[in-house]
Amino acid sequence: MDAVKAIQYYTNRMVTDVSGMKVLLLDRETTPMISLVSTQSYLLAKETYLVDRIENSGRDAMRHLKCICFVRPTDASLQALLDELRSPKYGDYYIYFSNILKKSMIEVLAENDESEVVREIQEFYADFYAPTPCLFHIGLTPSVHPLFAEGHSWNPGALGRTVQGLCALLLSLKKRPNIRYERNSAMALKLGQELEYLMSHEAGLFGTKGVDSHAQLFIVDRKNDPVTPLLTQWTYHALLYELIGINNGRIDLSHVPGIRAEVKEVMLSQDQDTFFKQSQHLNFGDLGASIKKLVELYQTNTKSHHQIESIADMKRFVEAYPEFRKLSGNVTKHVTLVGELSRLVAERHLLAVSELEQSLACNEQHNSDLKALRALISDAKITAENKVRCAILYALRYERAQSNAIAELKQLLTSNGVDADQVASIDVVLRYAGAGERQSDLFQNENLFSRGRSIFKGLQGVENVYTQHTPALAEMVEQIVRGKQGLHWQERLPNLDPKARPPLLGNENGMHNQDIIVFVVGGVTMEEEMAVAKLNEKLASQNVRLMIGGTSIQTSSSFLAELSTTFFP
Amino acid sequence: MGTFETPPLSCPICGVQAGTLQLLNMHLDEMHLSDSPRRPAQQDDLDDVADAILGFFRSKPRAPEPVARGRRVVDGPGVVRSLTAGFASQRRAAVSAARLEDNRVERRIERLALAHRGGSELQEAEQRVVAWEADDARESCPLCERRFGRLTVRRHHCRICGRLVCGSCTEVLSVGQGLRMCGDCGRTVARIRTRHESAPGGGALLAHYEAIRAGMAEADGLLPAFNKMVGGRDLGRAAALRRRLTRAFGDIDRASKAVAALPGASPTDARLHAAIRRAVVTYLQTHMFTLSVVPSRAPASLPATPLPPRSASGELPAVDPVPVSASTTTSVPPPVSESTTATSMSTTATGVSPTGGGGGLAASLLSYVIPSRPTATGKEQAALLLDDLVERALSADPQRQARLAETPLEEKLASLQVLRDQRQRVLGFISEAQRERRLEDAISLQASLSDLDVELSIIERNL
Repeated sequence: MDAVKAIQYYTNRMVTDVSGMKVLLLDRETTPMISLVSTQSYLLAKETYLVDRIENSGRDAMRHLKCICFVRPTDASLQALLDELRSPKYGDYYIYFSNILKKSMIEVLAENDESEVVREIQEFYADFYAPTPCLFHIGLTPSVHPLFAEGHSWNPGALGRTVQGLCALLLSLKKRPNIRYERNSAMALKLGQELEYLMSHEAGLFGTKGVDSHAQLFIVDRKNDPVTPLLTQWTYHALLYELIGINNGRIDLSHVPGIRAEVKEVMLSQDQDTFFKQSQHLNFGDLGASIKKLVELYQTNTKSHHQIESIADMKRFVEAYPEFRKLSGNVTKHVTLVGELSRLVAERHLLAVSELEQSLACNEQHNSDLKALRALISDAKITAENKVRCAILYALRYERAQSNAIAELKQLLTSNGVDADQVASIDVVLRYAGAGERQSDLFQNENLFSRGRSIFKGLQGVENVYTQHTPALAEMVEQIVRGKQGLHWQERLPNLDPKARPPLLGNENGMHNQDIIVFVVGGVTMEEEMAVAKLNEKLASQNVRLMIGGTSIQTSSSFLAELSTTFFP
Repeated sequence: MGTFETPPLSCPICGVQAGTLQLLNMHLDEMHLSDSPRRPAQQDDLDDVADAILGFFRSKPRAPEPVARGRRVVDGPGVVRSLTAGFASQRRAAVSAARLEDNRVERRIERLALAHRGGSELQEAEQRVVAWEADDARESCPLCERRFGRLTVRRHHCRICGRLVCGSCTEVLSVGQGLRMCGDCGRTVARIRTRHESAPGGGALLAHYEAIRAGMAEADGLLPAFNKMVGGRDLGRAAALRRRLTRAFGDIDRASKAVAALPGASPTDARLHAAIRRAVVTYLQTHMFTLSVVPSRAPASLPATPLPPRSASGELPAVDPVPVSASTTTSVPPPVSESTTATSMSTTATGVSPTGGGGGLAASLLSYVIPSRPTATGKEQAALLLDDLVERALSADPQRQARLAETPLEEKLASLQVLRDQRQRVLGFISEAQRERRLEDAISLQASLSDLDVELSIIERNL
């Protein structure tokens, strides 16, 4: 179960099965999906010398090249493909669709290939984004595919794309899972039904030999945990997403003051970059130590290279040369990134903000929280976004508290110069995921029993005040896998098909030899990705493998922006 | 056409009645195929004329490659589904219909071309090949739906299908005295042209590319065996393999440089050539490491070189591509080993070493005679030889000079600095090798020293 490898398998097949000088044609959506998991040097090594977009009609004709088309079967891409076949620019065409093609389209394609340039047409199900091995997403963006139609219901376009993406993921991993969904979520149910329909409709594909039918797919809804996407993140990968922004593996640094030209845009890839692979889940403090080690390593390497005195030295240099080159590029990149992160952390006083956030997310202490929050809102050094985020967290936790001060805080925000729109996002989030919408007792403060548990947790002591929070989803999965509170989860996460096997959760021995995919309608966060990566290590002894995905990757700003279009009061 | 009362059509040659224009024209195609304006015409004659006029259609029709068939289902992680078989059978139907139409149009054009040779009474001759629609048969253009008028949207007959179309929906095919044809027939003609188009271009590129692929195939075949031998005792065989590998790498490098130097008809060509060169540089960088740990020939007394720990695998991690600068052939370290190995052979072959020499015996002696310090005459001789070498290097690559002239000064200075650094280093290695009596190494180092000298003086001349 590795999302990155799943896509790499298809990419590899495409460029290896066809030998000779090649051009790779991609479309608007397959371009980022492929570039997330492969590099230019990889493509070059596979004789793929040119990469272009199929929509680009100004390409020069090069009949001596073979052409690999990897496109999504969307109307726009199919039209571009038909145009291409009517006046072919390359010698032979090998066409790969990233998803199931309508049967009628084959006929249309056949009619338009009058010059007989097509050698092969196949479906290669690489139709999702794979930023890390245990994380995938569908890449829904509010501008192309708004998620909600009105309230908690699917926009049809987004639903269709999500079903396709999940279908491709399952085929690429060879899973025909049993589907469970969060009982209070109409969107999770709808997605499950559509997916189940597609899987039974395409029985040929999902009945292929070797397809694992014991896997589980849990479809959950972001509204049951609105807290995680609102928290300041402290691990490397998550920080980059939250503070600088990663767009399909690319980081744009051109706005950074005094940036050097060669690092204006950098790529992050686990495959190519061992330092990143090792430190993506380190928290900010450990990251500092780790980058210092990297620089020292680089310095000793450089020094040894300056003292080439013997043939043996030179040989050693030549041996280490590619490693060395990679290292030197990497050092510049990571030093720049970490430098920029720490500048932003200091500029926005994120340590102070985060301390309050974590307290609001994890501990029930109304009076002191309110006091701290008032002080934060009145503090001119804190940005408006951060004030609002803390206020939303407060509103979520104390929504049902008798003496909550939500109205007063709104006024305080306004009087401190925060936009009315931003203040309104408190109500937006409450409408989307207030206590009435949520199914679980997220803050464990709704009854005496859960309050007791919450206090007990508080007594266990915390390692790091900034990273106390654990995503609700990770707790859920761990309890299910370990066989704890089976009936509780059985109630909240029912099977789509009530008669399906296995009907029950909560065998006391827990789960063994099980692959579980969790899909979050409304977007997944990097904190959850890290939690799942860690759980994968913890649960390896039970041979349980996890993967998490979502309609998109959410940061606090993208989360609030998406909600404000639909849940505005 | 349906709503119009069309007058009965009859064949202008035999008078047979035909229901529609299409049917009539098909009748003309089939029954009067061999008819020509000046009967009786010989088929050979016809072919000659057609060849002369339609030569561009005729060069080497391309046989379609067989379509890969079958359902390759699962042989790796992900599910795949092949639609090729279904596609191919649907295409067969579509293509054979199109082929029929193509042949028909092609034959009509040939006969029209012949008709044009007849000179007088062009229209009449044309209509004997293709019957025309009556002028009042249509009120609007069937392609753009605009109504015909006396002045604005004028009627024209398509010479290939005989239909009435408006002027803006026609183009003129430059066959005979020019054939006006409608958009539909124009598309068919374009399709025929694509099908008959001469063999794909890129002749020179393809030749060089084949050389690269052949070199890589050879190197890939040799490398596993060679890497196994590295650090072993059988230095004789290792050295033999090494020579073959060096030759293969040299071929690859040369061919890729030739590709990079090819003139690009378009920016895309230039991009393609640069990408091929970049791929080769990366390939060489990744695969040439192990070469440096085996001496270039079986030494009599050389102790086995200790193996650096990770050299045994040829599969080093992919390197980020290095931008190739045209001004430096000897750039950063990996090419040093490249030039060391590649030139050790060429120097002995061309007899370039300061002491000169020739013939098998002299060459073998040469390997043991290395002047520790060139004498005054030796120096002069060396300078002369150097000039000679520079000339030779430049004549081997005529565009070099021009490229150098375009290189900015800073870049030249920078590469000069790199080369000088390397020269200093190589001098150090030579004296060390001589001190330790590692004559083999000293020889190949000497060779790379002269290489560096050539490179230096080429750049210095161009400053």
